[in-house]
Amino acid sequence: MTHRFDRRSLLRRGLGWGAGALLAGRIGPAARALATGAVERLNQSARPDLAVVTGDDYAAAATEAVRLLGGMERFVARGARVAILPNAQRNNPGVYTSPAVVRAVVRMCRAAGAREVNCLTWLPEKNWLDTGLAAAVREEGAKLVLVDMKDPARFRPVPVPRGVALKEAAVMDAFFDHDVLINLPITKDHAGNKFTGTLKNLMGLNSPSNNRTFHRADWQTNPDSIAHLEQCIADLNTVITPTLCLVDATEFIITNGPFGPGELLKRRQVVAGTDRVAIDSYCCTLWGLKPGDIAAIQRAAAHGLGEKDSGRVRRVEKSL
Amino acid sequence: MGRPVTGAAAAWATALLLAAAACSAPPPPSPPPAAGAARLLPGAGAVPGWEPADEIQRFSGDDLFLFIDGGADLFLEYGFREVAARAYRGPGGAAINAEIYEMADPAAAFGVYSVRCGDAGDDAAVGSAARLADYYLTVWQDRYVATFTGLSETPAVQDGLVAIGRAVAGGIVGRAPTPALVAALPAVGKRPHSVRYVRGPVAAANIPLGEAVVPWQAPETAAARYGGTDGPAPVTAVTLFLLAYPDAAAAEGAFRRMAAGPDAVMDATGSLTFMSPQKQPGRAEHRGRHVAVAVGGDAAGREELLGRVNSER
Repeated sequence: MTHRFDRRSLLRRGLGWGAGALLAGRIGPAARALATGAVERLNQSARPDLAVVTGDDYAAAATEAVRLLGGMERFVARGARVAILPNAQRNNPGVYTSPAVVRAVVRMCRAAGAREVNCLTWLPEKNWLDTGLAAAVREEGAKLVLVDMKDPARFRPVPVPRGVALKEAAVMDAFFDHDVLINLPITKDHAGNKFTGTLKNLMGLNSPSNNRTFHRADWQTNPDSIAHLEQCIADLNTVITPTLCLVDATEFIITNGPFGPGELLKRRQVVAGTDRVAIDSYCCTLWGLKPGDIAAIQRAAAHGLGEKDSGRVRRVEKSL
Repeated sequence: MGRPVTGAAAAWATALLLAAAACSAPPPPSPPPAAGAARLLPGAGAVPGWEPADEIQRFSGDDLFLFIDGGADLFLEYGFREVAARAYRGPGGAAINAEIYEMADPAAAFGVYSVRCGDAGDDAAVGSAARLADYYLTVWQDRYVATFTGLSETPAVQDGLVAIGRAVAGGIVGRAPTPALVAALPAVGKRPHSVRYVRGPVAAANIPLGEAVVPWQAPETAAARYGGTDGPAPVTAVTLFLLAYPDAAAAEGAFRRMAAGPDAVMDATGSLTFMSPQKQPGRAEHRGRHVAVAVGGDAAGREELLGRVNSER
């Protein structure tokens, strides 16, 4: 049986301080111990579903976006073990999550009382060194956890009962030691999917060999194969639910994604929320795409993972 | 009033026969052994002011996913052999990433070059073709397509991009022409930087209006944009796609399949009018192993452009 830890169900369950960690059906021990008493805080006001903050100081923008959602304490309980998932694909401009955003998130987690903050990755250390993300993580007191992508023992098979195309994922073993997951993608172009954001970033927790199965053998001749890839992304999201998502929309490529180099768009925005569908539906419009044209968004909405209708999303925007 | 198309069928066929004679069937079944993209990366002292800053990284075949993740699909679709990458440091600590992709054949390299350049940048005198955008340079020569990425946008970095690019291009033996199907695109009225060469759905989905020809499933497509308000006729911007199939039967099969689509109508001349998945109007004609498809703009512009395929040869 799987469980959804969206905001409404959490309120019903009395787990309002955070969406727990997140692999559907599992809550970390810290979450279980510390969940009580949080419902009241959530009920205090009608908080936005989406916070969009624009500014030249990207760390300040990230901090303000989280504050608008109710503060990091809403998502990270004292003593929680936090996993963060930035994108460190390459040090080309507009391709990786801004170190300033990552620094701000680690700081907020620590200020909220997190016992530890770990940056999980199967990418090589070189990517983290080249992008400056290794320094950002370590200097803020977090740990970079490098997982050997070729060691199957470092990944745990996870059934995907609601999967339409993906029936079993292979999730990084270290992930299961955490109470909270903060998803930190950069939004950008993607040659296969047109768009990448919160939904696709979770492939960073899944093993590369399993991710490879998202690409069907006949992808070179069958146009439906790209749709298959997007269905797999949506399916993976049914078994991993981030507690919080912060999207780096400060400077990002809108052509030649996801690796670049490509045309760079500087929107200077940080977008925060818990609804992946709503966040991605907003972010794709930053460079003229329509949520209806992004299959992963549509398929995630069909899974009930979030709200694709912007008219039903409470969005607050602020400029610093 | 657009030019009648039916009377020019013979010329149309002749034009594309010329292209067909020169076309190599993509991709070749047995590509030659890799020459080694890594050997093209400049070593210490090879480019004044710029020195290697790390070891060379090499990836071949499907391992390209380990290097560029979802970006690999595009290269693999064309026929990919190997990539070699290295970082360079220059004046004031400026940094440039160099990546050299060795493709299965020169047409594949040109295709990747055409799609990745898009409309951006200015032509640069490097290799067989090159485009310099704000902070990066893309170069095509023979079986190689290379990107050089500055991690900052300064004049010194732009100079470095060109210098390293020239050093790489200078080491490439061979200078293949553009694919013959590209050469068959009408020259008059072709918009600058609008030419693309495509070998599959990933590339097609990444070019303007390209999704209109994805359902045609042609193994090889050349495309260019014509006209527009500030260019020569047609007045409305129309994109022309020349699709090449292995033989006439395959082309006819694709044409008949598309003609049976819900938004397609065959007229008395044998031309097909249709609506693309993105609701762009299109017109297509079939000759031998080729199909010409005009998408966008108005009906007169599409008809005129298809007529130009005939009249220029």
